[in-house]
Amino acid sequence: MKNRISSGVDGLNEILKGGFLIKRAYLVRGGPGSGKTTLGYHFLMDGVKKGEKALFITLGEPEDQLKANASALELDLSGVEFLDLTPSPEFFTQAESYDIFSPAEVEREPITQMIVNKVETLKPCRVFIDSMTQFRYLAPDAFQFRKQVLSLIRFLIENDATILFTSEASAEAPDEDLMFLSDGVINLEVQTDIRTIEVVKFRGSEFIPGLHSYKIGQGGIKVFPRIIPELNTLDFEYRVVSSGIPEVDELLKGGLEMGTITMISGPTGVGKTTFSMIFLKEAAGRGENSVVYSFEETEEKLIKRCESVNIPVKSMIESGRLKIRHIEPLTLLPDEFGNIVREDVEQFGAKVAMIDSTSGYEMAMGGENPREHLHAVCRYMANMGLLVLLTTEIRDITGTFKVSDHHISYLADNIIFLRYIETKGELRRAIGVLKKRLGDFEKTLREYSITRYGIRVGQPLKNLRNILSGSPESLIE
Amino acid sequence: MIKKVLLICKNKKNLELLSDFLKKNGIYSKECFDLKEAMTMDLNKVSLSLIDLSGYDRSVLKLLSIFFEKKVPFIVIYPPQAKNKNIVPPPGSKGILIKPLNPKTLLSLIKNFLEEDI
Repeated sequence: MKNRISSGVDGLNEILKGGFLIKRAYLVRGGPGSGKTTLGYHFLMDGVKKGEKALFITLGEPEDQLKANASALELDLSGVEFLDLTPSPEFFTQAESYDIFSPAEVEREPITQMIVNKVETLKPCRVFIDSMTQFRYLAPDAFQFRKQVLSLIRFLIENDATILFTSEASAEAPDEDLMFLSDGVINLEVQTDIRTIEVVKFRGSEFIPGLHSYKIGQGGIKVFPRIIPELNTLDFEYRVVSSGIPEVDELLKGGLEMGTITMISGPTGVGKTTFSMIFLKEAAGRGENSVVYSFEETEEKLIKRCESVNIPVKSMIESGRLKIRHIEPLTLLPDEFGNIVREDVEQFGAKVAMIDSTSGYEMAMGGENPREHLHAVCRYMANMGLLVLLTTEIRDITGTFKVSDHHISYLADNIIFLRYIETKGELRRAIGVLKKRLGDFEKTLREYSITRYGIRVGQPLKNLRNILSGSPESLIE
Repeated sequence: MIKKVLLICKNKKNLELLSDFLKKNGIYSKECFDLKEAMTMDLNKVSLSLIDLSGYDRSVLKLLSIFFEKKVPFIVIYPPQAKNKNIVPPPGSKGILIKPLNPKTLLSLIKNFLEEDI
């Protein structure tokens, strides 16, 4: 992609389908603290890394402060050239303010000359202007401002530069005009607990639309492109995989199809996780990789629990067939999680994935619409040919039959439910299949138990009725 | 005789900018920010005075009356807040200007005065 130039941020390059187009001008918009300048650091540092000349034209923060701020993020700006057009301290201490002529008359010419001199001397490939809004105060009116910006962009492009510039929009000085002038617009937004980046314009190129999450921390900006399932599809065979337990396979008329999403529903403690793990155990037996996203239990706890019921998770991990990712609440952004999933699918080569559980996921992710993200992640995995297992908890131990408290059953191709039933004062478990989109399934319920030898599933419960109520009645008097 | 423009202005940066502007356009000027000094100044070589009122107290009016008495042509410069207000020009003044000044207008105005003075 010779006509592209990296933004310096991997995730943003992915959104931009490879990076910025060279010799174009791009506007970065956003409120204070949204990371506009940090994005500029990445853009320029990437150029320096590639042996290009990179120029930072600052009209807001002085050079020293910019370098210190970058350093605090562990970003090294050495090699980046600066043109510092910020006011000196003397402007304040030595009464340098004036009003006899307008700033446009007094400062435009020297500033223009400084830019021209620097650009002609340095011949930068990349220029970052922070911020273009400052030039607005040097123009007598909107028309002059527009003309000046266009002219500056043209001058820089004729000098073979690709330009990134920021704006500081306010009610008094909106920046819509800059959006029209630029070849691309990137919006950065900070909400209470989430930062989003959106490309709203990118002349001459495709891009991934919509809001994507990003973080700012040590190392600068990390962008997590949102998963769009439709853009990620693989040709695969809907082959049926066994659970490894003949009675479960009988219920499922052979097993579950790869490339489908299976919801395992049930109340707390009924064995949803353990049941799901049998498919991961079988995958390991077939020499396939699996991954567990555990939003509730730690890796140690899950290992211990599985080992106690004869699911050899430890050896599955040791052989590299299983990865357990314990995700602490509110540590990941939904798109960040999505990118981890992508890594597991595309690099680790996972064929079976379990998300444990939907309520844990919603708690952990926060954000505005975690369900929408969960939908995208699950659909993506299914489109990539994975067997996706999604455990979902229902609040009621017995009583009214419900598949999920999270209104996500629409997402599932298959629904397996586990329930407590009480007969003769004894609490037992039952398993059944409610839905199987790609094939037939057994309509009966079976007794289900978890023993130290593993999961045991009995014969169909033909002598009971009203099983789903939780208090079945015997048909044999 | 070299014609000079006397610039009276309390803000030193304004004074400097005005002086630089006139110099760039081939007009000699003398700068003064102290009113007392201005009142006792030899005004013989002054063809025009530009007086920026900003920052001075009412004693600036005394200076204006001295200039009026001594028949020194002067233009009074008002702060931007005076825009759209009905300002009565001080007695003897040749006109008023409101900041920020338009350099082109200012230059043609000064040149006109200096030519009239020949």
